[in-house]
Order: sequence, then C-alpha cells, then structure tokens
Amino acid sequence: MLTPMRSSIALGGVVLLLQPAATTQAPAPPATLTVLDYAEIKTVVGRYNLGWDNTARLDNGAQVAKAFTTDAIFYSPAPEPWLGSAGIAAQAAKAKPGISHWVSNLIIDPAPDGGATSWSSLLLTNVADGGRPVAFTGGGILHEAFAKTPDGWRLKYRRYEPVGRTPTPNWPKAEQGLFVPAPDPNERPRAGRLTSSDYIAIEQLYIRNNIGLDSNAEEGQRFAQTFTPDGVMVSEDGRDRTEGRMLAQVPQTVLKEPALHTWMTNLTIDSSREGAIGHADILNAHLVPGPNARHTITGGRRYTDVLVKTREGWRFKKRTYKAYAAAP
Amino acid sequence: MLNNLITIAALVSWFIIAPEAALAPAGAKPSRTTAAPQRAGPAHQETASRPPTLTALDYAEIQMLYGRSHIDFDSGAERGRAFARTFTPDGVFVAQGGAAVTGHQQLAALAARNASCLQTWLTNLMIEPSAEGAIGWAYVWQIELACGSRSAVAEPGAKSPVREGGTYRDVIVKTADGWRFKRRSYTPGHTVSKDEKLPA
Repeated sequence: MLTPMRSSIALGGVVLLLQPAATTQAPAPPATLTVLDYAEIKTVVGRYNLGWDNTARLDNGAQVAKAFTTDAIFYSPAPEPWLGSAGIAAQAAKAKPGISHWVSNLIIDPAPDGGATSWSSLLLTNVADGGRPVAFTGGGILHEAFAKTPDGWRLKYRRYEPVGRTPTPNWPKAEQGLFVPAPDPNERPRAGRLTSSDYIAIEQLYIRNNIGLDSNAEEGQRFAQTFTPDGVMVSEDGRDRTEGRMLAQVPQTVLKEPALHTWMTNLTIDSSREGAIGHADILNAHLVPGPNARHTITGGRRYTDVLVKTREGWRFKKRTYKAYAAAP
Repeated sequence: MLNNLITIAALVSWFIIAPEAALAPAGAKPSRTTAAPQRAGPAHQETASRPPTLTALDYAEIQMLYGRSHIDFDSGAERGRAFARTFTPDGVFVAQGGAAVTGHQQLAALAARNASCLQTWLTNLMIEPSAEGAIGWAYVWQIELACGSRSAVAEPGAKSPVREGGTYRDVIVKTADGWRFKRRSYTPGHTVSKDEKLPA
C-alpha cells in the first residue's frame, strides 16, 4: 500500500509519462554567467598556464590537473588528443621547461549547458632560467569550454590552433563577447563607482576592439562598433584623427591582412563623471607560420580612452593613442 | 635589468633615505614587515570554518591594481610616488638574489628612474583568496619599446627588445584606500622558487 507521499510521487510519475512532450518542449533557461563566474574562469586559465610553465616539474602536474575535469579533452598540436586531467597533467610534467604562455584577448560567454566557452589569443615564449634570453616561439588561438563542478570551474575542452594551422584565423563570431553578467546582488552600490559588471563589460569591450582590429571583420565594422557613432580615435600629437564611420577603415590601414597582432596588458579602468577612463598597453607581434619561424615584435601602443555607457552597452567615445616603435 | 634597478635603488636608498632600514646584502632573505596595514574591515569573506573567498569586485579591483602599478612604474609618474602608492606604506618588493626594497620612499626611488617608454608587460594574472587577503601570481616581461636605444628582432643580428621574463608572487591586502601590494616577490625565469608556496 502506498503512503500519501509515495502516491503523489507515483501519480507525478504517471503524469510525467503521459506528458513527455510537454516536458521536453519546455524552454531551456537562458544561458547565463555571474560576475564571479568570469573571475573564476580567468583564474582557471591562469592556473593552467602557471601550472604548465612554472610548477609542473615541482608538483608533477598537480596544478594543471586542477584546471581540468577528469574527462577533459585537449587538442594540442600533438597527433592525438590528450585525455582527462590526469593525462594532461602527465604531459605537463614531462614538458620541456622554459615555455611560457601569454594568453590575451580572453572573451568568455555562457554556454547552453550551464557552462562557458571562451576564445583567446596565445603568444608562446621560451624563457631561460634566470629570466633571459627570452624568445618568442609561436602563437595561435585557443578555443575552450568550461564546466562548473563541485570543485569549481574546470576546463573540459581545449583546442589550440597554431598560426598557419587554418587558412585564416578562426575569429570569434559576432555574438561572442557581448554577454554582460548582472552585478553581484551582494555588491553594495557605490555612488560614482563602477560595479564588477561594469569592469567585466569594459574589459570585454577592449577585447572585442582588439579582435575587431586584428580580424577586420565585417570590413572593419566590428572594430567601429566598439565606439559611439561619433567616436574619435586620435594620436597623442593630434596629427592622425579618425572619427565616426571612418573608424571602420582603421583595421585595414593598420594591418595588411587579418592576423593575430594585438596583445593587451596593463588594463586599468577608473570611473569618471562621463562614465569611465581606461588605459591599456598593446604589444604588436608578427607571428609567422611554421617551425623555427622568426617572429617579431613590431611595436606597441598605449591607449587612453574615454568610455561612456550607452543603451547598447559601454562604448569608446574617444581614444587617444601613443605609438611606440620596436625599432630604434 | 630589473635586478640591477632594484639593487641600485636599494643602495641609493641606503645612503639617502633610511639607513636604519637599509637592507640585507644581495642574496639575503627578504625582510619581513611587522606592522600590519590598516584594514578597511573584512576585505574578503572569511570565517573560521570556511576558506577565504573573494568577490567579483575584489577580483576586478585587484586586476586594476596590477595594471595601474605597471603603468605607474614605467612612467615614473610623480617621481615614482604613484607606483609606490600601489603598495602598503610598509610594502616590500624583493627580487630573487637581490636586496629588498621596502616602504614608499624606496619604492618611489625604484620607479623614478623610468620615463616615457613601455617596458613592463604583465600577463597571466592568477588571483587566489588567502587568509590575509589575496595572493597574485603573474608573469612579467621586460620588453622595452621606444626607449631610444633598442632595436627590433626583425633583422639578423639585431638586439631583441625583450629583456627578461619572470614571475611575480604578490601578497595583496585590502586597506582603507583599496587593495595594495604588501609584498612582491620576483623570480626571473620560468621556475617558481621552491621557497614559494604553490597555489592552493
């Protein structure tokens, strides 16, 4: 004899069995990520790099293992994929010392399965013990997927495409890097100060701007769309000035052809009366396909940006840049 | 180069700033500070039974601290004082094999030598919560652009603008003025020192 509770469960089961279509057709909740998810996913990326580059020979790949799910799959340039956190950690433990990963332009998006996906550009260097010499040894694109486990975020998929592996770089799609997480509900509002959500949205804007420049996607429109319609880009000495619709012409004037070119660092964002002021340093590298290729540092830029929050999100209103040459 | 700068700044400071705080010779263990920085209340969520955590805003503000620190270091703004302010008043910067640079005056002297070139490039920042606030791990590259005396790597025989690469391990605390470096350790090269506690 069924107790009332068991009867209810049994009845519920019958209802579910009779209405499978209703269950399967229920709309899935929209994919979402919190601001803390962004921060923690970035930490996973950092842990992998630090683990592979610096600690794997001390801890037998333990840090690397902590960055992956037990069933992760990693498509490196090796002929066969590396499988599972233990298998990937074993590769790290026996890797040649000196490799350093510089991951830049990391865009993170929610995935329908409750996880996240990312796109980033990778610059590989080799650093001798003692800090020098440093050689740039290659680079490419990383495509990754993350899962949230009871132990926190973990990489479950990673694919590295070195420069030259594909005919043209697999740039992110137009919709990538646009998601803005809601602010942390426990975050106290601070008058005139930016929220964690603002910081993330502005960082992602910078990254879309960098990728828009490198890719010249949609004939420069993706780069231009990171500015307000009346946005301005001007050199520090005022001699070069581009504004409005002409901003779409910038990528093709900077690069002969789309390529991984822009590595960003030292991003700082401060609130301002108008919205925010941002600074970023850009290293420009020219990567050449193939083994033993000679990669070059071609220069750099420092950006000083006025940012405003529009109905479409944060945008650059004015960018002032100073170019730095690598040549004497 | 960074080691040389730190050594020079420390020696200069020994004579002109704070001889009583003069630091151990090169290779000595870093000095330990005793005065705890002023705390602005709980910088992070921590209880006796739960491990410390950081909020999303903490992560963002610490990332901004790193960016500001390097821009201020390269520019030498305010005779280095802008860089010094990214540390607590008793903050320490020590490079492996070199003397420690302690306190705002010495830290400012370290940065005041720089001007008008991009040289410090931070990558791979990893922030982890700690009982004291946070631990930051990061790579730092010395790549000198437009300093007037370097050349590009494009031509055979040309000198590379890339001078050095290494790793920071930073102890970061939340003060009344926001997040600040309390202690920065720099290890050149790719191997973390066995003396450093690895990430949790």
